[in-house]
Amino acid sequence: MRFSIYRYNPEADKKPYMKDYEVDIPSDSDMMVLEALLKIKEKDETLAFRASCREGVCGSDGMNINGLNRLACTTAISSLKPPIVIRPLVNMPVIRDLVVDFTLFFKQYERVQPYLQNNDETPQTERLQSPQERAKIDGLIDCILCACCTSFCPSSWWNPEKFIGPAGLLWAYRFIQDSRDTATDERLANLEDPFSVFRCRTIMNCTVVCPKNLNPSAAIAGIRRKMAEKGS
Amino acid sequence: MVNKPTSDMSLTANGLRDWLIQRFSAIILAIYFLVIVIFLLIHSPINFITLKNLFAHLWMQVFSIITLLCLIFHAWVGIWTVITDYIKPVFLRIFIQLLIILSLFIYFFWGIEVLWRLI
Amino acid sequence: MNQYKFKNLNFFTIKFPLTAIVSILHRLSGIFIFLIIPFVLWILDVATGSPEGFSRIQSIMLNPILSFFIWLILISLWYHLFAGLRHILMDIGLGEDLTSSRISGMLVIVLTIIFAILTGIWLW
Repeated sequence: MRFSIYRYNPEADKKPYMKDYEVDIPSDSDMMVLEALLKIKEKDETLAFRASCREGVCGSDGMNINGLNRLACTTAISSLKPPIVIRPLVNMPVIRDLVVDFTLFFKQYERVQPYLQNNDETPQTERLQSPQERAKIDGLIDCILCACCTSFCPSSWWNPEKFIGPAGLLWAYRFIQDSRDTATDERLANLEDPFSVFRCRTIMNCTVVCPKNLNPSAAIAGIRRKMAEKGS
Repeated sequence: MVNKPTSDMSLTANGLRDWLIQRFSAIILAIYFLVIVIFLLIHSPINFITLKNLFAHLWMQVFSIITLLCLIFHAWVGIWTVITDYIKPVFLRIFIQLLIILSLFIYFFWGIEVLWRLI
Repeated sequence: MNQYKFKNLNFFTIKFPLTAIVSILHRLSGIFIFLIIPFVLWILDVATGSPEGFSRIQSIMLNPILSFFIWLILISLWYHLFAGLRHILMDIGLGEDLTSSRISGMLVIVLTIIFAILTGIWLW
């Protein structure tokens, strides 16, 4: 099977180019794209990509595979139409080949203060949540920060500095919804400008590509509704 | 830290307010559009007197002026978003924004003039 | 920040989901409607100004190119209306999941096609 892979070595190449590789894959194989990349690397060790847990938990191997951002380790080759075109995550600075720079992505993540804030007196035991309260953060606590969503969002392409992006906003909503967090009002007030949240056009690209099947788009809508409730 | 975003000449310099105005004006515009379509369907084929009489009613005058205002605000919030997405050089952006604000003002007064002539 | 020279942003290599296409068409129809505001105001101005003006506007409808243009305006308005309604429903929490938003996106396109045909029948 043919793989067409984005290559760029800043020390040797003037600009990025696509390079083709042939990999033998049995027709009934349940191989993931990551395994094919590892096979290619055996033949051509100059190919650079990130991967670690190889089971969709660490979020290292996000890349654009046949036009959609996904994790190489959880994308079955049998689910793709050959030739398989692998490019780096969209609109992120390319360090080398499929390895991209996450600096801005993590800055946007930091901006939503992704940690529990509670100034109440610390209780002797744990801060308890009822099952109903806990259910409110279902689907919000599973983000692995792979950047598949934010890198696939046109609002982030055009305003990467001003718009926080779906990943950061999912995290913001995760703490807004958490009954143990007492900084909800400040969190909402920090997001009221015209760009941070409101640049989202609800085109759902984030939700389409999320490898954990989360719904950042709905989280963003949730933040906007919280603001509207508070404001009125 | 990433710098806190500026408003870049958004309607109210507040995302929530812009967003609410966009939705509220959308509903008014939708109702107006449907009222006009239904009117034209009922009175098809339309003639000059029927059309003129429609706008002579006080409620239609008020409704039309409210809709005109909604159109101006709705258009500004929408076009503002498009411009701040695609036009990055600051002076060019501000120039185009001012041009659009100017044309929206002209449309508003032109619309008022057309409507008030029909009372 | 600028130590890396290249980014992968090539539209021909990106697969745009249906929901993204519905959204970009909403934007394009909105820009188009904004651009034709003066044309619509002019029609209103002339058609309500005098009986002669009214018949002048009527003759526009008989011109194939101009009436096609009017049809395009109306299609844009229908599309913008349906897509906007879909967004408002999603804003209040209806149909926010992926499956619903795909169905509603498809529905916006189908409804626009139906209304484009109906409007065409009405115009000609």
